[in-house]
Amino acid sequence: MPERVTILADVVSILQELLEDWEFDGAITEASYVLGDLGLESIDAVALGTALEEKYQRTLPFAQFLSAKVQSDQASTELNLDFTVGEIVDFVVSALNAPASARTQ
Amino acid sequence: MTPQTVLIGLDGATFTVLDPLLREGHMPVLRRLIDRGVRAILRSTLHPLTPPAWVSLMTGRTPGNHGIIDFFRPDADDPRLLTILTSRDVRCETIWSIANRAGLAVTALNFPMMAPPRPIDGTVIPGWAPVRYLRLSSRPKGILNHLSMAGVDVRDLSTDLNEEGRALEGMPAGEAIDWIRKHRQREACWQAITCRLMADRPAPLTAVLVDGVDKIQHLCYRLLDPALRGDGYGAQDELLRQEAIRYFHQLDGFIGEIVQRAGPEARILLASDHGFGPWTHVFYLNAWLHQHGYLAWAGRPGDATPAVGGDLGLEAPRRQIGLLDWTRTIAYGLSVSGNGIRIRRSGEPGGGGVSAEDYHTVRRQLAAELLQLRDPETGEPIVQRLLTREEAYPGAAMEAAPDLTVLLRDYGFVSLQPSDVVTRRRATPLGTHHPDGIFVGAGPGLRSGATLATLSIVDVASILLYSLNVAVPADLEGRVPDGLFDQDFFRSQPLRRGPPTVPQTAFQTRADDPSMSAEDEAEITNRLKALGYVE
Repeated sequence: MPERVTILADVVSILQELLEDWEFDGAITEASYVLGDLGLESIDAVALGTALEEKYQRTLPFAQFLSAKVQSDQASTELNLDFTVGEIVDFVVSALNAPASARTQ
Repeated sequence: MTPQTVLIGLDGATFTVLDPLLREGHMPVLRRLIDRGVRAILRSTLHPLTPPAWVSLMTGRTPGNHGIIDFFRPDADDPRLLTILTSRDVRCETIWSIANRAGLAVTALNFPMMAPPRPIDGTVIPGWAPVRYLRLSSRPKGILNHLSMAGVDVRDLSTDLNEEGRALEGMPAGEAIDWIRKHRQREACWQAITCRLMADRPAPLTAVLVDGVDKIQHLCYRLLDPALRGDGYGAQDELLRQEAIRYFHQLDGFIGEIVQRAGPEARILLASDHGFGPWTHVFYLNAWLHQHGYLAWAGRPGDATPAVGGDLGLEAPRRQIGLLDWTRTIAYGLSVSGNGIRIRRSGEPGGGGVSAEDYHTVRRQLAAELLQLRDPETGEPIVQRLLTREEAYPGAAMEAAPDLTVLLRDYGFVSLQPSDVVTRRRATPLGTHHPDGIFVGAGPGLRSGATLATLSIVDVASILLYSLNVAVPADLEGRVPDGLFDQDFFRSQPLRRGPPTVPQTAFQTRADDPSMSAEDEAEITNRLKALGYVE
C-alpha cells in the first residue's frame, strides 16, 4: 500500500501533466483547489480520477467521493463542486485501504 | 506488403445531407470516391448513440457484448449515481488490438472510449477526452511533444462542453457561426495531426474520426436537409447555412489530403456511427413517469438536467440524486443520451423500488402504457418502439443496461426535465441521430460504382480486417458483405476466419504497455523531487 506522501506525489505528478500545455505557473499544494486554484475544468477533474485509477490499477469510488463532498460541505452544490489536492489524496488513501470492488481485474 | 487501409469516421454523417452537397459540387473528393467505389447505408445500433455505435464499429460486437451502452452506467454500489464510461468498460477486443496481434501497427485518432490508453503498437490520440488529458492518454508517450514540434497546437482540439450542450438545443445564428468556425479550426488541427502521422509514423491501418459533422448537424440540420427547406431561408439562416457548407467543403479537403497521402494502392473506407434526421418534438420522459405514478420529484424540481452528452464533468454522477424522491420512485429516465428507463429494485440505496417478484409485471405495465401514448395534437404514437434490455442489449453486459429503451417517433432524445406537458412540437426542428448512417469504400479490389444493400455497423470491423488480410475472429458479429469486393479479388484473397478475440480486462498491467517505461517512472520521480515532495 503506497504511503500518503507517495500518493500526494502521484496526484501532483498527474496534475502537472494535465496542466502542462496551459499557462499555469503557480505552486500545487495540498490546499490548492483543483478547479478554483489550478484552473482545471470539471471534466478534467474526472480525468484526474480516471488517471488515478490507472495509476493504482483499481476502481476508485469517485462518484461516492463527490456525493459525500456535497453532503458534508455546506459551500458545495452540484453546480459549485470543487475539492483540494489534500482531499483527493485522503480519498485515495481511504479507497486503497478499502476492499476492491467488482471488475477491477 | 499489405496495402494501407484508411478509415475516415464521419460522426453522424447521412446521405440525406451529403447527397445534395455532392450534387451541388461542394464535396468533389467524396464524389469521386463514391463514383469509383461502393456506397451503402450503414445501420447503427438499435439506439443510435455515439459511444455504443463507435465501439460496435471498433469491436465488431453489439453493445450488450462490448458493454458500452451510453456515456454513463449506474454505479455498482449506488445506482442513483452515474459512472462515466471509459476504455476500461469495453469488454471486447478492438480492431486495433486484433491488427496488432497480426503484426500490424495502427494509428487511431479521436475515437471514443480509447482513454485511458490500452497497450498498443502504433499511435493513439483518444477522442471525447478532455484536451488536458490528452498528454496522459495518448500513445506512445511523448507523441504530443512530437506533434507540437511539428507545429500542431493540441489546445486547438479543446471544446466547450457547455456550448456543446447548448448547441444541441439550438443557439442564435451569430453564436452558431462562431461555433461552426471553432469546429473548422478543430478539424484543421486533426487534419494536421493525421497527415503528420501518416508521414512520420505510417501504419497499415490509419483511422481518424471527424466529429464536427455531428455537431454541425445537431444545430443546422434543418438548413442542410432539402426536405425541410420550405419557402426558403431567411438572411440569418442563409449565412448560417453557408458557414455549415464551408465546414463540409473543408472536410472534403481533409478527405482529399488523406487520399492523396495514402496513395493509389490504399483502400479508403468512410463510415459513420449513425445518421441524422429532423428532431421535431420534445418528449418529457420523467414528467410522463411522474404523471403515471412511477416517479416522484423531490420538492419542486429544478431544471438542472443537462442536454445530451453535454455534462460529463463532476456533476454528472450526482445528476439526478437531489431531483427525485427515491423512496417513492419506481422508475426514472436514466440519462438523456441513452433514452433508457431504469426500474428500481427494492433494497437499493435510497429505499423504495419493486420486489423481484413484481419486476416483470411492473415493466410490462409501464411498457404497455408508454406504447399507448399518443400526441394530443396529432394522435400519432409518440413512442415507435420500446425495447426491453433482453431485446436491446443481449449479451454479457446486459445487466448494466436500462430495463427499457425508448425509441421515439423522430429518434429524438428524451428530456428528463420536469414539465406540465409530456410532449411539445419544437418551433423549428433540430437535428438528431437516426439509425441510417453511411458507408463508402474505394480502392484496389473494391467494386466500382456500386450501391449495396444496407450494411450493419458491426460489419465494418470484419471489412477492415479483411482489407488488411487479417483473419477475422470467429466471435465477430459482422460479415464482409457480398458485392463489396470484386469477385477476382475475393478469389485472390479468400476470407480467413481466426480464433475468437482475446478477452479484455478492466485494467491491463504496466508490463503490457510498451509505452510506459522505467524512464517515465524516473521522470515522474524527478519532477517530484524538484517540488520537494520526494527526497
